[in-house]
Amino acid sequence: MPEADVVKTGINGLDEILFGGFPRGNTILVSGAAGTGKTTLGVEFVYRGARQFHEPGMIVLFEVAPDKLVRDAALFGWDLRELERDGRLKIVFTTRQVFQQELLQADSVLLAEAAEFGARRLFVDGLVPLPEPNGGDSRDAFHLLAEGLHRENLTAMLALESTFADAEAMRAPEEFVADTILRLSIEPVQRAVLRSIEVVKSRGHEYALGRHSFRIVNGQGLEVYRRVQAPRGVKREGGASFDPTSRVTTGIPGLDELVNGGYFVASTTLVVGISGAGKSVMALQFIAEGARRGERSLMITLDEPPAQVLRNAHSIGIDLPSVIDRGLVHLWYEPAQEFEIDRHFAQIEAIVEDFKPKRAVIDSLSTYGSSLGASERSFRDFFHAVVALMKERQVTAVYNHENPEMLGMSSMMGEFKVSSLVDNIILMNWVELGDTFRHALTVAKMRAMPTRRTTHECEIVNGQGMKVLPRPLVGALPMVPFASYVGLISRAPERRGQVVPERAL
Amino acid sequence: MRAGTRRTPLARVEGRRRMTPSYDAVVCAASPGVRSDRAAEARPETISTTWFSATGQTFSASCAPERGRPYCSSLVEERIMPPQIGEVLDRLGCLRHPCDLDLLLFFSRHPRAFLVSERLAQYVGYDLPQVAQSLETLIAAGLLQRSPDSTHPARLYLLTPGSTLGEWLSSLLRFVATREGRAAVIHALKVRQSPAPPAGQSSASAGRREPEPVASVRGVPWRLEVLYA
Repeated sequence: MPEADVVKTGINGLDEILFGGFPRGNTILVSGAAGTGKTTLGVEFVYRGARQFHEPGMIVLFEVAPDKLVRDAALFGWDLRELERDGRLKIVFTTRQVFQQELLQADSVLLAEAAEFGARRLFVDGLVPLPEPNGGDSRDAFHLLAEGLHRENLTAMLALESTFADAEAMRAPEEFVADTILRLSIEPVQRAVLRSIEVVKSRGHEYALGRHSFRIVNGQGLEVYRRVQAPRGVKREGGASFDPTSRVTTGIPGLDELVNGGYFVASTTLVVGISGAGKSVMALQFIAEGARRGERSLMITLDEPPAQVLRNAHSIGIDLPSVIDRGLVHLWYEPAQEFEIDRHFAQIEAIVEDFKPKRAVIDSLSTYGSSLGASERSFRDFFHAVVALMKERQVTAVYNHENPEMLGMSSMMGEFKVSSLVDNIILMNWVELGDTFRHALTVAKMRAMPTRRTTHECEIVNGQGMKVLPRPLVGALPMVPFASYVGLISRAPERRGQVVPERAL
Repeated sequence: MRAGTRRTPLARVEGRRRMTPSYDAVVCAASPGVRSDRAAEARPETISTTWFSATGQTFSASCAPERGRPYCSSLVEERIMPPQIGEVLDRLGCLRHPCDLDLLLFFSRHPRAFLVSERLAQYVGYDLPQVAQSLETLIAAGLLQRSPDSTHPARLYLLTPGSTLGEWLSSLLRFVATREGRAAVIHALKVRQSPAPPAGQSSASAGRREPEPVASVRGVPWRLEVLYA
């Protein structure tokens, strides 16, 4: 579609899900219950049009007094009075009845008023299902209204009030006539609320389907976040590294030897283990190794605030503030109390695109799991999106995941089954020997690389960090054939009393 | 002071330099039949004005801030004092009836209104002929524009604060944005409408008063002292 035929909203994130904006001249119906943000959306649509795109606009109000609208808009930093003085905005107060009758007139005063200053956008706040003047149905009445607007080539946004909480129940006849329908809603999520916007239909262009989250931000306006599951394009989904030779060193003495010199570039590594097993220490050393090599690293921490992370790093001899100051490390903390997964992902996306890290750590994935509730699908969708983002941007990423089992592991990811999405898996365990728990590390999976899956002891030394201890045995243990065991599949194998030649069985 | 009378205590005048813009004006009910000689002691900072009570008596109001407390913020910010209301009304010239003021107030909140006059009358709470008359008054004064007469039942009204009266108008509008300010101006308009009653006859018996407007003068936040019972 030619750019001149696209009406950009200018609303942060909305044009992205509209794939550019609305087709010019569309009649856009915004439906939603009270408090869902219809007025803010409409006013911002007109404000941004006048301010950013030189498209004067008109706002029609039925119940809200214009001075209150101006006052409320000022909270977002929108000076509507200034636009009025400059002749880029008109706010008209009227009644629904007058408005409806006016748009049926060939010489509508209202539309003449809009045409007089070259209005290209119109926002009508507080429509209710329209009664047809001659007793027809409201669909006809709305059709006549839309025709009146179309005649003037106005891109009109009409906020339709609904008292229904259920989206299906509030389907109004007007929705069949409108060119575009945006449905706003508020849904309770674990005692918090989540605002969402859905493009139900939009004639004349493509758009991202589904419910996307949005926020109303003081001093700014709407911020729309594309739902995390929505595909981001072929480039991202196909993103991966094809370099079979380069390695990204782990920063853990002794570990690189176990992973063939380091991780592949843009690979995904999962470090799984119970709390205290050394996952965060490994993450800090991975970041510090990047800084030592002059590579930018992003560390996303969800459980520990930055000051605590800095202290932890200091305790193992890593001067994190210094590398942060040098612009080599971006430490980003987001508390997980009221998690909005679409917004969170949009922020990660923005940081990655802006900071351009070579390495990234998320500490830890289990926090996402607990914040998203029992929704395994949401977690998997989010993780898939993060992995795809990192691969597209060639970021070698390490994700920590807390496994609740103290000794041994019956499942690597518990209820969140995403291990198929990762390239490498490192298991961190405690091994109880005598009266001491000792750290054990097993490289359980290395995609496209050989691994022995042997368990190694490691230790964390104050002021130095973690290292994998060398195996005291010289050479490998002799391989005993399967035939020497019983109960292999039951996961409790026992040695037979005597080795039986295979062909004798 | 006459025996048996109850005097509304006047607060000490603290002077405007002590005022801060966070004060809610003190509201006192009028005390008909009470006279205070303290009014004569009022210093220049004390605000005085006169109006008719609901029973037709003529009252004078004195307003003085409490110790360390200012006048209501709109008074301080706009620097309109009740004695100045008359001056502002003189400058504007056109406002005669409370309906004129209330229409002006309505249009200040709805500067571009597209309405049928019946609905407009409902919004401001006066009868239709009075609204029509007041509209003509405001239009003639250049404070309001109206779309040309046509077949359309609704008319587009546009407040024109850019007129030569703009500054006075905006001062007045900010002043009447409060209930107290509006009541004070309505009172002043009523006083202007009513000629002084002949000697020996109260204004009530003169029968010249307009009916009570939407707001009652009883809400006026000035300390009241009866000067002329």
